[in-house]
Formats: sequence, structure tokens, C-alpha cells
Amino acid sequence: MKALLVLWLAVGLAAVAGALPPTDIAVEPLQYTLPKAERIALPNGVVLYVREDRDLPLIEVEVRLRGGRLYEPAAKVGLSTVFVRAWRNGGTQRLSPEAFNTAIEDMAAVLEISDEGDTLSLSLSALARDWRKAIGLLTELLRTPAFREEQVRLAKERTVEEIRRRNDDIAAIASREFAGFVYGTSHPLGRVPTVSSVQAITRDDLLRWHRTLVTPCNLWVAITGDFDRRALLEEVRRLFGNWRGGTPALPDIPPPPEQSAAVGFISKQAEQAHLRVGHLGVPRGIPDRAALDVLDYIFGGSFTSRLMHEIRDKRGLAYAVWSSFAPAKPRGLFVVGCQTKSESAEEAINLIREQIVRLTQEPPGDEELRQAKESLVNSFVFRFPTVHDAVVAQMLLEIHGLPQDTYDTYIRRVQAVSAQDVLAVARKYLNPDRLRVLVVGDGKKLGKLAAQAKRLQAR
Amino acid sequence: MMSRRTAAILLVLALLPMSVRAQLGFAERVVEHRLANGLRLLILPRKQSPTCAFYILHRVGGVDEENGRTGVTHLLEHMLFKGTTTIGTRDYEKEKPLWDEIERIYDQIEAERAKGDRADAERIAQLRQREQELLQQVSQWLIPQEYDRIFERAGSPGTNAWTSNDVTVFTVSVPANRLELAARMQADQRSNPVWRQFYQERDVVLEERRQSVDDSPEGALWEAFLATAFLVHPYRNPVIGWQSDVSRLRTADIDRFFRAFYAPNNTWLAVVGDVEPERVITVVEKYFANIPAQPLPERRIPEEPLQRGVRRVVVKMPANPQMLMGFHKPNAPHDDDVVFEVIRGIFTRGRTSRLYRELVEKQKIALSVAAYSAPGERYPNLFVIDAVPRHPHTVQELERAIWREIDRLRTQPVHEAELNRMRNWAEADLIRQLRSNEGMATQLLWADAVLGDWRELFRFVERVRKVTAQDVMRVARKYLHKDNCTIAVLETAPEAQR
Repeated sequence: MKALLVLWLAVGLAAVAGALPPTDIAVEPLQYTLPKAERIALPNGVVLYVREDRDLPLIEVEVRLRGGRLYEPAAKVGLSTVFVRAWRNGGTQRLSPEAFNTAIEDMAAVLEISDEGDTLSLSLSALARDWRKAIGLLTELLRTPAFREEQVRLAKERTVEEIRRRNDDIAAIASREFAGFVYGTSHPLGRVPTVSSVQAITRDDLLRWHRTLVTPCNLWVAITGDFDRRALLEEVRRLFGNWRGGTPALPDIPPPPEQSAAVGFISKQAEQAHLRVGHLGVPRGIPDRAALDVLDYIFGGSFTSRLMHEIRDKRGLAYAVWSSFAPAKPRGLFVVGCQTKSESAEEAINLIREQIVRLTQEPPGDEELRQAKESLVNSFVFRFPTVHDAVVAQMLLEIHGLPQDTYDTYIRRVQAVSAQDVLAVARKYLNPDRLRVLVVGDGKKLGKLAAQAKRLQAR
Repeated sequence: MMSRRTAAILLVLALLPMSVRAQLGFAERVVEHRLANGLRLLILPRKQSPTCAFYILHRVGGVDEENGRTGVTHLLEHMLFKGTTTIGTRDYEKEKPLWDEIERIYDQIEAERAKGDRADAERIAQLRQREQELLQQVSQWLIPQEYDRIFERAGSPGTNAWTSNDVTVFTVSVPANRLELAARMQADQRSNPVWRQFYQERDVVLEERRQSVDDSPEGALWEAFLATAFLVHPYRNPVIGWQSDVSRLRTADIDRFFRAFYAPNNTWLAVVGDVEPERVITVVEKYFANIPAQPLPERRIPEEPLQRGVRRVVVKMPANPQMLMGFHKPNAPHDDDVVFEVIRGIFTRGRTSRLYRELVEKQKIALSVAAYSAPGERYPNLFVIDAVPRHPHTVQELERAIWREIDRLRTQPVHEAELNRMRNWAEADLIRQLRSNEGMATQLLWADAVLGDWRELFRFVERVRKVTAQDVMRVARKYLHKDNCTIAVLETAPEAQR
């Protein structure tokens, strides 16, 4: 089914004095069709999302599997990071790493493997004329990687070096340690690799991890670009058809414990204090996501948000202040971030708290609500900048078990949001009495804010 | 580059290599137009989605600033979002006298601050109290963030801007049916700006500086590196400005700079996306034609003298070591610059590149290594090698290994296979660049305003194709030697535990 969305909002903004008010400019209706993919399930379980796109002579492939660092064993945190690196760099059973990389780069193709938390991603971009060879190499790496010992060691050593360096950057400390402060440092979403947990990883672990995860029943493949559909499908069936395997059993992830309110402090020599305020957030696929998006826009998710106005525009306290309600499995994070000179840290925290409380006490004003809704609706055409992005997004809906019409109904759901709905999601998902605050910075300059906080260590 | 929204100091990747095969037909689709006031308009219609990028470039950047007023270009860029005489205000005539009074208060505050240690803190506090009262009073006339609000409400994913050493660029994308709104808003932005809330925005930029330079190991090292590599050319100054310069900027500085450099005859406009070129021309004429042309100020920018010997600088911060090496070289579109683009690829592009294979994989002394041209392209610049050592290896070992690779380049011809790979990259890069309206608009503006002709983008692949192994050796010998090299090293200082 094709979703035809007509975006036409002629309603006015606050009237502007003088000549040529921007609101008086006539607006033609805009027709936008979300590019839809064809879904093809192969008998062995591989699911394809395919769409031709002849705009440019390119082919782009995104392979996804369920898996990722969320599912690592506790004794081997860092396994998934080492795994994706050694997988990509370790060559195949047929080709040495050097031969494999030369084959890819001689075509000016790009092939990367990454850990996306609860999925693994293999992405390929190649010139259309090389499509057959490029997909062949991708499949070879997917099905018959070698994880050569030399590259396994290199992947581990690189990861250890990154651990050594991870406290160089104050913003990285704030983000990482806030997750630990909210999820708990032993939950998969709050824990971090250590030198010893990485050193404990063996090549056998990686081979076993590959055998477990990489099966046709755990494979989704999005392919877009300048190709002949029939020839492409024939080649894909040839490459994947003879492959058999069951569905991997991924461990259940326990929900993180609800934490009580607390203020933490980590010492880091710096001019600014980096602040994080928040608590546990939402899982994927909540029914009132549209209302939460409206709330986020009003609160701190846009350049015109309340936080931006209060902290940046009005008082010049910070360059950056933002909020996020990113969903994750099993629970996302609600977080406000801000960095400001040490002397204004306390003022900024108080302003942030005040704004969170306000969300739970009163519905947004009519004008604020209209601004947020129109902005979300009218900017929907930018949600997927390319056909490939749109097709991958549809594939991810299936992987994450979300309704297939999520994007088709999005505009309608936003349009239906009322001021009371925004208040309701604020009361449902925000709890000013459970806020955790993390301050990273210079304790001497921060004074009693640091002295009265719980002292934490950057891991 | 300093941007309004993101704090990262982007190491300017100079010429993103581009070319086009005839069948793409993009070069043929670019429409050029010049308004009578000198404004240059470039249009590229493409129908991938019902959106368009509407980007404006002013050929003014950090290099155009005078000593003592560094950072003025970037702060001006921020100020352009504070609204106009009709946007962001309920009644400009009512607010204006209040801003004038705040200005007079700052005359006194700055005079007091200029006394340094003898400044009267109590007097400053009183003046600030008075400023707060006036700000409270003026707030009744303001419509906060209205400029952004109008764009976001029309469906723009946001309007933004960035400043580099060379240029200032204002970026906005809108749904295709909002083309006229984009033109009307952007024309107003440069015809009737109001410098409201200037001193709050100056504080915002000082926070931006703390975040991206003072507290950032990369940022602090980068600043010291450029100030060492360039003795007199303004590429030595940070785009965000030196702290003491920014903290003393006044609205008069901004105003003077705006009037001098934002003239239509110093302005480029690119519209890329689902648009009809004739309609774009009509709309741009309608809103921009009445901005008068004006003579541009004479710019006397000092030339960097020949470097005579290696320069070294050390920055100590509580962070792990890293290093930068820079070599003076000509800027694009000089022929030698194209050769450097090839060298950059052979050195650090991908997993088959020489420095990656040698330093990261074989010797295992580096965590990462990258090469690029910086910090600008309007004047002779640097070929930069940026490397991070892996414990327990040191930056000294890393430097020795890099010199060995440079020697190899100076004494042995590169392989034909390596050159071929670079030719393929140049072609593929162009095609990938075309995936987004925003990328294409940026490239067109940059090539036309800085390189002198947008067609340079499409010539680039042919020029890469012609680079030979002999060219690489000649250029390596000419520029990649110690006497032309600046080395900046970040050394670990113990952290003050408090």
C-alpha cells in the first residue's frame, strides 16, 4: 500500500508587523509518497526489503541481525565490539584480510560492520556497475569469515587502547557514567568493558558468537539502488538459498531497577561542568510516542524549545542544552544534557528541574502546541533523506516488532495530540521525584554542589 | 569551522574530491544567474524528494578579521538568528531605545573592565543590575526565537550556519512548497537584522569556546598547531576567536563587519532540490534584488613567509598523547594541491592505505591516522597528518615511522594500482556527494566562491586522473621535508584531583 500524504498547513503564525509577513506567502499543497519496499521472504528465513532507485549509479545494502552488546555475557563485556572489528578486518576463509580489503577498495566500495546495541549492521555501498562482485564479497564475509588470530589480537588491543583513552573527553565521561548511574553499573545498558573483560575474549568466543547469531533465520537484508530487480533477486537467491540454520536463542534482558533521586559528582579538571539530569526512559513502540515527540519538541528537542530559551537565549548560560527520549530495549533513557561554566552549574540544574516539574503540572499553551505539531508534521518529508533510509527504516520496524504502518500513521497521530495528551505523557513518563543528576567537572569551582553530591568515579 | 548548533571543531576537509561522468548530467543541469546587485545564484534541480536546500554563502571568514577582533565573523553569524525589525519583535520602535540604553551601560562596563586589576567590581555589579532590569523590561516586546520558529513550523528540519577561516554559510532546507518563505526570510535576515540580546549571545559563544577549545584536547592542540605553523597569515587565528578578543566584542564591531562584508556582491546563493529554475530566479529577484551593491573594503592580508626549519609546539593537558604534523603547500585549485589529494588517499584512505597498514596494522604503534588539507582554501594552507599513538608507543616513535613513509614517497614511485584506486575514489565520491541536496549545495557554493568556478567540482576527477607517479614524487620532495614542517604534540599533564 502506498501512503499518500498531503501536507498543507496554511494556518498562520503569530502575525508579523511590516511588509511581507512570512505567513502571507501562498503555499501549494505538497505531495509526498513514502518510498515503500517490496518484502520478500526466502524459504530459509532470510527476509529481503528491495526497491529499485535509479537516481544515481549506486547500490546500497544494509544487513541486520538481532544481536549486539546488549546480549554479551557479563564476564566478557566488550565482546561485541571486538567481534565486529575482527569480523570486518579478519578476512574470509578464501581471502586474506589484505586481499579482501584490496578487492573492496579497488571498486571504491565501502563495507562496514557495526554494533547498534541490540542489532548488528553490515552496510555496503558500491558503484552500480560493481553490484555483483560487491554483493558477493559481502555474502562471503557474512557466511565464511575467518577471524584470523592476528586481527583478533589487533581488535582487542585497539579496544583496550580506547578504554585507556575514554576519560580524556569530559562529554564522553558524562554520557557513559550517567547511563551507569541510571541503569546501574551491572545492567547491560549501564556496564562498560574493562581491560580484563576484553583480555578474556578469545578467538573461539568470536567464532561461537558468529555461529550463534549469523543464521538465515536471523537475517534481514535491505537492498536499494540502480539494478535490475530480476537479476538482483536471482543472484541473492543463489548466494543465500542453500543456507540452513535455526533461530538463535538470545538471552532475556532483565528490566533495569527503578532508582531513587540522587546527585552524583565526578571530578574532571575543566572550565565547564557537564550536566546530565534524567531517569529511566521508554521502551520501543509505546502507543503514545507521538505525544512524547510533541513534548520533547516543546521541552528540549528543538532549537526553539523551553530549555534553549531559558538557558541559552535568555541567560547565555550554555552553548548546548538538549533533551532526549530515545527508546531502547528493554528501557531507554530520559536525559537532559547541558554544559556550562562551573559557576553557573547550579543555576542551570535548577532551571532544568523547574522545567521538568512544569511539564508535569500544566499542559502546554495553544500556540506552543500548534508550533510543535506543525513542525513535526511538516518536517516529515525530511525524516528519510534517501530511498535507502526509508527502506532500512521499514525493515527495522519488523526487526523490532513494531507495527508496519508506524510511519504511514505518524502524521495522523501527531495531528491528534491534544494539550491534555502532552500533560498525560509527561505525568506517565517523567517523575521529578526520581531525577538523577550527574555533575562532571572541577570540584573546587563547583563548591557545595560537588561537596554535597555522592562522589563517583569515572570507570 | 564553528557552527551554531554543533560544538565539534571540524578539521576542514578541503576539497572533497568530485567529478562527474557525462551520463550523470548534473553539470549540464546547473543553472547560473547573477542579479544586478552582484549576487550570484546557482540552481540544481533534482527530484529525489519534495524538498530543497536553500544555502547562502558570504565570502568572509576568520581571515578577514583584524587583530584584537578575532571571532567577530562567527559571533556575527550567531547574531543573524536574533531576528529582524519585524521578526522576533512585537514592536521594534518600543524595544530599540532599551537596547540603546543597554549599549550605553556596556560602554561603562567595558571602560571599567579595561582598568584590569583596578576595576571597581561594585560599580560593575551595579551596572549589571541595571542591565538586568532593562532586559526584564525589553522582554515584553520580544517574540523569542521567532526566526527559527517560523522555519521549523514550515517543516524545515532546522536552520543553521557555520563560519570557517574562508567563508560564512547559512543553511536551511525546506519542503519544496516553502521556497518563497526561505527567500523572504533569508533576504530579511540580511536586510534588516537587529542586534538584540548581543551580550547574552557573546556569553553563549564564550561557552562554546570553553567546550570546543579550552576543555577539548583536540581543540586546544589544533589552536596551538595553527598559531605555530603560521607566523603572520591570519590562518593562525582560531575561527571562534581568542578568548580575550571575544569577551571584548561590541555591537559596533558586529555592525561594522556586517555592513562591510555581507554585500550582495560578496554573496552566493545555491538552491538544490525539487525546484523549477525559472521560478527560483523569479523568487530570488523578488526578495534580494533591492539589497544595494556596495564597494568591498580593501583587504590587505599578509603573506606567510617561507618557513626555514622545523617548528615544534607542546600542549599539556590531562589527556593521552596525540600529534599533528603540517606542511605548507599551495591551495586549490593549484596543480600541486590535486597531487596532495592523491597523496592524502595513498597515505590514509581506507584499510589498504600506507599509513594505516604500516602504523596501525603492522607496527601497531598507532590507534588511528588521518590526513587532510587545512585550515582553509582561500590562501596557501597545510597538508596535515593527524596521528594518535597506541600505548606504550610514543608520539616520537610515531613521528619516526611517518618520516620513513614520507621518505619512501620521496624516493620511490607509487604503484599504478594505488593511483587507480584514487581515481575510482574520486569518481565514487562525487556520486555519493550527489545523494543529498545539502551536500551538493555546499559543494557548489564552496567551489564557486572559493575556487572561482563551480565547474572545478566536475573537473576534479579529470585532474586526479592525470596525476602520475612522477608528480607524486616531485611534490613529496618539494613540500614534505623537515624545514617545511610544524609538529604539535599533546603531552599528558597530571589531572588536578579536587
